[in-house]
Amino acid sequence: MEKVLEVKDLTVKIGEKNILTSINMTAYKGRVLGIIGESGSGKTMLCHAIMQSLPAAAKVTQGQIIYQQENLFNVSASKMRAYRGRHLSMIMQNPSTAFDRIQTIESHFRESLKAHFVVTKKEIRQIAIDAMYKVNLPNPEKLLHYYPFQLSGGMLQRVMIALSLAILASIYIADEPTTALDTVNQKQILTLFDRIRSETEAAIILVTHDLGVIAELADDVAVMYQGEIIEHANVYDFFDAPQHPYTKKLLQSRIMF
Amino acid sequence: MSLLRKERANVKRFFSLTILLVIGLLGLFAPVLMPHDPLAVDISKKFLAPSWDYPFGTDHLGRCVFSRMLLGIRYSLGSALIIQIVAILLAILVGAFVALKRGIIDFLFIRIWDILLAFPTLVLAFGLLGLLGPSLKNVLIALVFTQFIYYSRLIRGLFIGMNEKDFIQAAKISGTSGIKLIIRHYLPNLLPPIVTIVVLDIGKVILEIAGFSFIGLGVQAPIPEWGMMVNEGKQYIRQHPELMLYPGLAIILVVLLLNHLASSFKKLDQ
Repeated sequence: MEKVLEVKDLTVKIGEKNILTSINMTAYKGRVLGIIGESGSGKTMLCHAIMQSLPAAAKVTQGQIIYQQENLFNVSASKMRAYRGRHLSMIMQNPSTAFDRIQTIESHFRESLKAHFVVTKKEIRQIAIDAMYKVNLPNPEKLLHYYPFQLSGGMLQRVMIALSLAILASIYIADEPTTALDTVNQKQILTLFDRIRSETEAAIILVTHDLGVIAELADDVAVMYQGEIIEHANVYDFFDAPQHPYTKKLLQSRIMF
Repeated sequence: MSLLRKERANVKRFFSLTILLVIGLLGLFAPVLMPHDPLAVDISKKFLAPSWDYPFGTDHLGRCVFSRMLLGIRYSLGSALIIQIVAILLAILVGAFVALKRGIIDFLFIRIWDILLAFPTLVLAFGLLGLLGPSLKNVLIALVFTQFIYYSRLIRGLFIGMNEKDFIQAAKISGTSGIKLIIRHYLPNLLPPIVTIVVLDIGKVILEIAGFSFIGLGVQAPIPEWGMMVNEGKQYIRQHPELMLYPGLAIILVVLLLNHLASSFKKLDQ
């Protein structure tokens, strides 16, 4: 297994409070790392730390994030900008606020593509339509001209996934990508992620609080609780032999049929 | 109820915008429309009553008041527009830079600006004019400076408010660079409040230009700026009050219309 991204002993503070405490985790090529934990356990902060897009108040006090033998904290701002969206791609949590409400869907695609490639208008259209078709959006040609507020939450979430998948990255960080979706579309998206990791060998970091999603897709699981990773295991071990009491509690809280 | 209010704001906006546009066009085409040379002195024709030849009569030097009023639109409304546009552009440059950099630059900016903002606008402009000497160009410089200080602080605040918005984060995450972020996301989203502020303050700036000219610190004598005309007319207020009345009323009309327009923008924004 080839390492793509490694987080070493990462601690992030806001004021005196530890938001993340000594996080260690590794994303491997072609594997899905599931991060699970309750709301406020620091999952989203961890994603933003990897993307170097933490809020101004958050300070990294120790640790490294290694990508291509480099510590991302030492990489220059312009190089980091070139990585974002191209090498490290993040699917944000809130589809309703993550879009600029006065730009069309097409211009969102144009912006992220033009940030990294020299592309013509026609090519952008084609890439956008293909990507939206893949995430099962109806009428992608028409959607291009829509504004974000004209679409439902579930549709926006799929547009966001399409936006991020339009560029082949080496790591996809998906922050609760399926929470606003119905089960049919959720299944479709998960299958899509599955295909991407086997076809492109990208690493996927999947943040969720849905155990079903973890069972479906993840190869490894990290359990977060109050800013710490309290258990890091293979997905089979995670379900069959949970070690930490919190993990046991988490597994017991599943709705049983 | 809200629809009715919106409708009223629309009517208000249409009404004031049309009149202002007409005034603006009159100013723009003043050289063609003026019946006489506004600077041509003819003592034999002083204090003429309004007639077809001289629609507003003539002043103490026999100059056509109507022509002077028309050309005055350029000096009052025109310079105010220029001041506002230059000031807001400079303010966007500086405000955006500070808001995106934060850190020590932002800290220093705030301290220095606090000191500058502690002076009332008029006092600051007075000081500058005292240093530079009275002339049209220096009035422009002084007012651009005072407006710029006020706006850059405001723009900084607006930009910082946007900094933590999700879609800004999303754009950053997909690799968009700083300048593109400003042009594509910050500015379009902040346009409504910025336009409101700029339009609202045009009236204030017109009053300030006129005020400076009136007390002799601004535009100098032969130039037919409205404030200057009020100043020139004041010597003859007993015999010929209309010489002060025309430019004075014009100032009031334009300022009121601008305030009207700005308040309708404000309602739209909300």
